Parts: sequence; C-alpha cells; structure tokens
Amino acid sequence: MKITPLNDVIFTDFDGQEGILVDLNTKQYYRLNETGSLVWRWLEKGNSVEEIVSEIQNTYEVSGEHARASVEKLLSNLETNKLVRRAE
Amino acid sequence: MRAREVNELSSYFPIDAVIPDGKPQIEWLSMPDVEFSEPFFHQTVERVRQDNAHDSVFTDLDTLLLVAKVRPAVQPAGMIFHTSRCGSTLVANACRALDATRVIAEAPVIDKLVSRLFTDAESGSTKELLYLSLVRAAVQSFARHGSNAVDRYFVKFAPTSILHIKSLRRAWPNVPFLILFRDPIEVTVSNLRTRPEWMIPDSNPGVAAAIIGADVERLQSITDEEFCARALGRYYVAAESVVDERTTRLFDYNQLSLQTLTQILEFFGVTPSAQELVRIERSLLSHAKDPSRSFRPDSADKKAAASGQVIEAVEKWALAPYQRLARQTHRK
Repeated sequence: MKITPLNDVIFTDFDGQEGILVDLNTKQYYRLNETGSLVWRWLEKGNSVEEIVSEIQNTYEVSGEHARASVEKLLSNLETNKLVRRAE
Repeated sequence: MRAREVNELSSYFPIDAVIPDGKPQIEWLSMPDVEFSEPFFHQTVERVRQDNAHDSVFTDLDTLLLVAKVRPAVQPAGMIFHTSRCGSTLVANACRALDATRVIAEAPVIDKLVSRLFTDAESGSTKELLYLSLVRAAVQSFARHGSNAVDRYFVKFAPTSILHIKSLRRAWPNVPFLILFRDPIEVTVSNLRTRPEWMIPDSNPGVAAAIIGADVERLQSITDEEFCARALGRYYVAAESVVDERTTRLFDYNQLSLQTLTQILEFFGVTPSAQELVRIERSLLSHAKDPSRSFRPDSADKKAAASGQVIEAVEKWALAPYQRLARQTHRK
C-alpha cells in the first residue's frame, strides 16, 4: 500500500530534527517531529508503508509492532488532515 | 499545485512583505537580467522601477514556499549579520567584487519576515517554524535561476535580524554566519546623525519595543540615545550567544582590512583570484554606501562628537556586552 503526499502540501525540513507542513489550500500548518519528518521524506520518495515501517524499525531499533503503530498513527493524522492520499 | 503561478513568477524576485488591507502579502517584481550592483537591495529595486514600467505582482506569503519547492535548493555561500554602521556594507561590497556572485543586502522581504518573529511568533512555537520556513524560501528565491544565474550568493541582514540569529541558525545549520560589530559610541553617534528605520519607533512600535526589550508604553519616554544604546547592547548579547559556533565568525570594525576581508571570504569558502583581489582593494578606497565618495576613517571623529548623553547611555546599556564580545572575538 502506498500513501502519497498531496501536491499542495509543502514540507520544510529543519536539519532533520523537525519540519513543518503547510497546506496551501487550507492555509493550515502542522509541525512534524524528527520521526514525522523522516516519514514524510520517505513518503515523498515514494516508499510504501511497509518500507517505511521497516526503515523506522532499523533507524530507531524498535520492534516491528512499535514501528508499525507509530507510523500508522502518524499516517492516520495526515489522512485526517487531508495532507496525503492513500492508494492501494 | 499552482504551477501557472510559479511559471509566471520565473523572472520575478520577491521585493517586499506588505500588509494591504490587513492581509499579509509578498510583492514580486520582474527583474530579468538585473545585476544587484547597488550597496542595498532597495536601491536596485528603485533602479529597475525607474528603467522599466514593470508592474508588481502580489501573492500570498505561501507562494514563497511554492516557488522554493520548484526551484533548485541552493544555499547561500554566507550570511552577514551586523550591529549597524560597522562595515557590513564594506564586506558586502567585497563579496560583490567576486565573479558571478550576487549579494542581497537588507532586502525588505527577508528582514520584514524575520521581524515577524518579534511580534507574531513565540520562540519554540510552530508559528516560529512557519516564519523560518518563509524566510528560508525568500532567501532561496535569490539563488541562481533562469537568466539570472550566478555561481554563489550572499545575504546581508538588517541589524535587527541579529536578535533572531539563533532561530535563523536552525534554518541554515551549515551556512557560514559572519557577524560584524563596532564600538557602541561610534555606532550611536552615526545612528543619531542619520537615523535608520529601526530607530524610528513610530514606524512599528511593537517591533521597536521588542528590539530594546521594553514595553510599548515606555517607548515615548526613551531618548534616541537610550534607544540606540539599548538596541546595541542586545545586538551584542545576541552575537555573544553564538560566538562559539564552528560556523560563525566575528569581526570588530577596527579589524577590517584587505587581509581580514580575504580571511572572511575564505571563511565563506572563496579564495579570491588576483583580479578579484584588485577589485576588492579598489572597493576599500571608496565609501561603502556611496561609491562616488572616497573612504575616510572616522572613528576618532565619531568618538570626539559623542555627547554626554550618548556616553551615559552607552555606558549603561551597551559598553559591557561590547567589551565582552570584543574580548571573545580577539581570543577566537
């Protein structure tokens, strides 16, 4: 399964520590922490959810279950705020 | 994606951040093939406006982000901060003497966005990140693109922006930051002779109060001497807060020479060619802000012209942080 950032959402990265998303349509902005910024960058690169979970697991040395829960929670928030599009 | 909007702005540079009818906007001006040869950005804009009948275009602030997204992300070769009247224009002119180099000096669009950090965004807030992303996008819009290609570009901020140097560092963690400062008596005397906009509290009382760390209500009772000295004191403290950073260098005005200018350029990653050095040396002979006049050292004159009020205000608000900064700079 793939999740794609919407074109009208712009991400600014602050040295990999955190970032900000600006939705040009709604004029809303959202702060991403380090993990959130990492996930967003992987989404922009076209990585699948499975790949992102695996990357998080490796980067932070956490269990697959923990990584999946964190990623799903973030993606759900992004979807709720209409910042990404889910494609099967 | 508003691709059409971005395409239409391909030959435009952002020139100002304005608030017509209460709505913050960016003003853009078509400047194809324009060289930023004047000491200050606004002077280049005035020339372009005189030469051409180009209309400005106004967009929302976030168009800056959109433009930054589609243009190559080129970082500045260096950023120049200063505490007012302390040789920053001389350094900017030296950078400008390099081949294929653009210097954006005190562009209102950049410094006005930075100044929003005084009044609209608390330190550490999400809004602060938003403004930093806008400032970064504004800066990036001056990088090479289209017919305005250059090899490198530098940004010189207005003096007040030094108060946000720690926040700005988050936007450019690896870009060399140069800080120039000068004896507060000399700077205060100079600023009282020709008052810069940041010393006119009526132009933006909220920002003016934030610059000196006072309440807006107190502004009326503060003399020009005190206002300037308090601002300088805070500029020095801000500079001191980053003095130990590996990517920050400081120079006192009295250290500036052809040799130190070469050191500054090397700090920016540039080794000037023989021809470029000749041009830099030539630029030292003229008055930095008015190349038609020749340069004359004026430190002694300024010190001699200081009134008792100037000396008292400087001793109270600015002297100690200046001396600390000077000691640390010379030690470094």
